[in-house]
Amino acid sequence: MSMWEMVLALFAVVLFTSISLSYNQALWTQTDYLNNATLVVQANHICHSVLDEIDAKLFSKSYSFLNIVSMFRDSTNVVYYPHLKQSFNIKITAIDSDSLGFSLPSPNPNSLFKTVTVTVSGPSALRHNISLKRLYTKTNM
Amino acid sequence: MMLFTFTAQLQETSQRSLYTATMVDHMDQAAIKINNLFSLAGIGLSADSTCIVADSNKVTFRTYWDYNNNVLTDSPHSIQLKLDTVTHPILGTAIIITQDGTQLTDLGYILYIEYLKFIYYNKWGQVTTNPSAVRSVDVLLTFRRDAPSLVNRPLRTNIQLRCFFMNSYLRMGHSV
Repeated sequence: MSMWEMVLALFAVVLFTSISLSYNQALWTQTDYLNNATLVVQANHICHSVLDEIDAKLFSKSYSFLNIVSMFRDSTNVVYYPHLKQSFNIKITAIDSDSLGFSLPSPNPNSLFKTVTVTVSGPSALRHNISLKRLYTKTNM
Repeated sequence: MMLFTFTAQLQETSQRSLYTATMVDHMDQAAIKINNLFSLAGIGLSADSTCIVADSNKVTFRTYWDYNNNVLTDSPHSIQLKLDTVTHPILGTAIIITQDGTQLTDLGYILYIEYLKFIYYNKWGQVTTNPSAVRSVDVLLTFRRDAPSLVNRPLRTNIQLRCFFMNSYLRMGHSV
């Protein structure tokens, strides 16, 4: 094999290795996106469940509307989901708000509106935190 | 040879991705359906008489809501969710949703299920098996679909959701 042929063979090896690497990288990225999509769905349902639980306990009067903010001012829990074999960080924040869910300039415990925000973060495959917000209105004066 | 290998690999991966993407969507839709079912349970009934069967793979509850016509009715209906005993080779096992023994027209089946388990909780959030004490349910689901080419490498996705008998909680609030 001449020198020129050896250089060509070496060039071919480098070329195919680069192609292989780029393929593999694309596949891993694709898998990562799909894992993220699955976890986004799960995180979304966790947010709904947390907010639904607050709804349910307000309905049953286990929670008091006026105490929502003090109960969930800045609550963070790590919850393990055995079926998924993964843990998620669940952060719940409650504020006195206006009718659009914006924070009041100064806290007012007698505000007719409270906004609860649930933020779920967790396994590394979940690329971004998922957050859901629900506005609660006092209807029984 | 390398090009052939890459092309085959790319084809398999793109098909798996497409399958998984549709499964993620299916999983989300199934979870929404199930949550929707539980949210309307117990309308017009006392909290203690909403759930009448609380098995790990089957739940039956009552409500005055008619899921077929989306209206309130004068008499209660019995809604049951259970995993079918028959497994289809392609579509997997189905969750069958019945109203008074008849499958619901638009919500009657949830396909591609491999595993279903219900865990029940009372009003204090403690696990219970007593139907009259049930106020919320954890639904554990595993979806399974055969991969496009490599059938021995099926695609599985898990989801776990908590559904609340909202009307039971509402009743509890009014009875205080």
